[in-house]
Amino acid sequence: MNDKKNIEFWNNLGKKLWIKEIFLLIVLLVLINEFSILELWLKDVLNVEKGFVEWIPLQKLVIQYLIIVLASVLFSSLVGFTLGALIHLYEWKGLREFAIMLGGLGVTFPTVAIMALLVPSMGYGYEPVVVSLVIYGIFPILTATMDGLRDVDQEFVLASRAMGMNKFQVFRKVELPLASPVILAGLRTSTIISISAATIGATVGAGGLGLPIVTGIRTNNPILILKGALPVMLIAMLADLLFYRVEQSKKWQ
Amino acid sequence: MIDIKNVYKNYGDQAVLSGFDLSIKKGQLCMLLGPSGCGKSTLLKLINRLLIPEAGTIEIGGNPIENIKPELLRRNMGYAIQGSALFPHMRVEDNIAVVPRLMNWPKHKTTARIQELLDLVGLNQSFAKKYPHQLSGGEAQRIGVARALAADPEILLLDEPFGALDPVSRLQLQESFLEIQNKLKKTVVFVTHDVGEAVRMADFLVLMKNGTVVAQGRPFDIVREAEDAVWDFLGNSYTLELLERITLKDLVRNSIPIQEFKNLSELTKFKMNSTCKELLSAMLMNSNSELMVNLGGNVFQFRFEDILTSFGGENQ
Repeated sequence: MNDKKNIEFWNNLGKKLWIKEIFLLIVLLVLINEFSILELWLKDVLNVEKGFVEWIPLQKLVIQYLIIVLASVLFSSLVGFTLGALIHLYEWKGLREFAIMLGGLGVTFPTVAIMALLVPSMGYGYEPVVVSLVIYGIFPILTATMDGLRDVDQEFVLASRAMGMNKFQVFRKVELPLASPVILAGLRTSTIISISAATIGATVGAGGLGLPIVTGIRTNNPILILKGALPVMLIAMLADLLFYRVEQSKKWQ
Repeated sequence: MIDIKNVYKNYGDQAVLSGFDLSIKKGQLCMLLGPSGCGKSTLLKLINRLLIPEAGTIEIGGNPIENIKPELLRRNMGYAIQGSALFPHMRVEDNIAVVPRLMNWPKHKTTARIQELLDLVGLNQSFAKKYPHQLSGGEAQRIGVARALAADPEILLLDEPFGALDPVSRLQLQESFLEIQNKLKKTVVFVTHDVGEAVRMADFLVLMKNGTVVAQGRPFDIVREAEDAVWDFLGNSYTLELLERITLKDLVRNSIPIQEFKNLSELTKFKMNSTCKELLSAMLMNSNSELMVNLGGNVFQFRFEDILTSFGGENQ
């Protein structure tokens, strides 16, 4: 009994002090700044003989990568949410079906192919990557917004209209807050997709953490692959933890 | 206050209200009683313009409601429904403050009003910070009533507000609501399918069936003019429900306590606001049409005839 209480106490304290998040962040920062130490050790363990190429510093790759991810998430949530909210508010029934169909189609189309198709018009670099990640990221947010808003218990909508709210007040004060857990789940999915898909961007010259991975595959160098993959993994875990925290922060459920 | 004239409303091919007329006076607690699907909830939604009638007019204080902006109309009509429909993401205080905030009340006025309303519905001030999921059914329903009263509307529309409660909390809430109504004298349209609730609370009782009025009037008047249709509707124990409207206070008006009685503890205890139904029940339990009771420390003797007389008196 006492043990159980103790565990609960430390768990709560851990939550309050952001222990997990801070730990992951520190690991990530150390990894980024001191990768050379790990590199030497890995060289011994994996018995890789290849010499090191002059590399763009890992810090720079991480920053490039984060910019690509954040820009894609920002644009896809802006477009996805606005579109979903408008479809809901103005009851565009046909457009709902169309959006779901189009989104479904988009997700089944390989990301690499979209990037490659965009290169001729946009050139090499981060632009085709961001655009294709946005196209991918919109769908989870759009459907989550539409479904979340649609599935709000009509009892509350009726009550708020009966109290004299107009359509937009019902949306802002009742529907949106009640749909927010579903919308947030969509944003989470979209972000995780972007984090992993952004590595493919290296194939069309966007740089970022995909660069060591892609180069590692080409030159058969596991150290390079790990150099890109480990930070990606840590960033994904960190993002997931942060979303979990936001989801837990609401007190009304 | 509310005049409904010749109103027609259909859902698709099905007629819900056909030529419905009803006039509700200011300060009256009007109970609409009827089985599911008789059109009583539809009528409420027509009054606050959540639905629009196919034909006919509804006037509030002589003013046709289509002349008023729906949002403004609704803000001046408190509305509460079964299960309370409190917004789960808002604290109790924010739930109560919904309409005052829509009407842009100054902050201090809203805060004061929240405190006042919690007092009125008999809840502690600490409830203000709670979320709806932390409330019991009865507490939530009290907040539902407080929310409906928040902006001090002249009219209250209540759609089976106590329908989801257990019988005990239900009686408590009915009693509290009657107390509040005696203080505030709102014009209330109260929808229910519970005969007991309707008879107990109504100033004015409207029996509805298939979208038409079967009978309307004061509960005792309906008994006097009773036709077969009314009995079919209310069931034959309707008069027993009416006994709940006569309290022992009404009965003792003309009697004097018995002085020489010593053993108070042997007698059944009653309160001044106990009802004739409870008295009759005690008589049946004791198999005696005469009963000595302890009424707040005084001894009274009641006979079955007293109940008859008093019922007859109300019935005149």
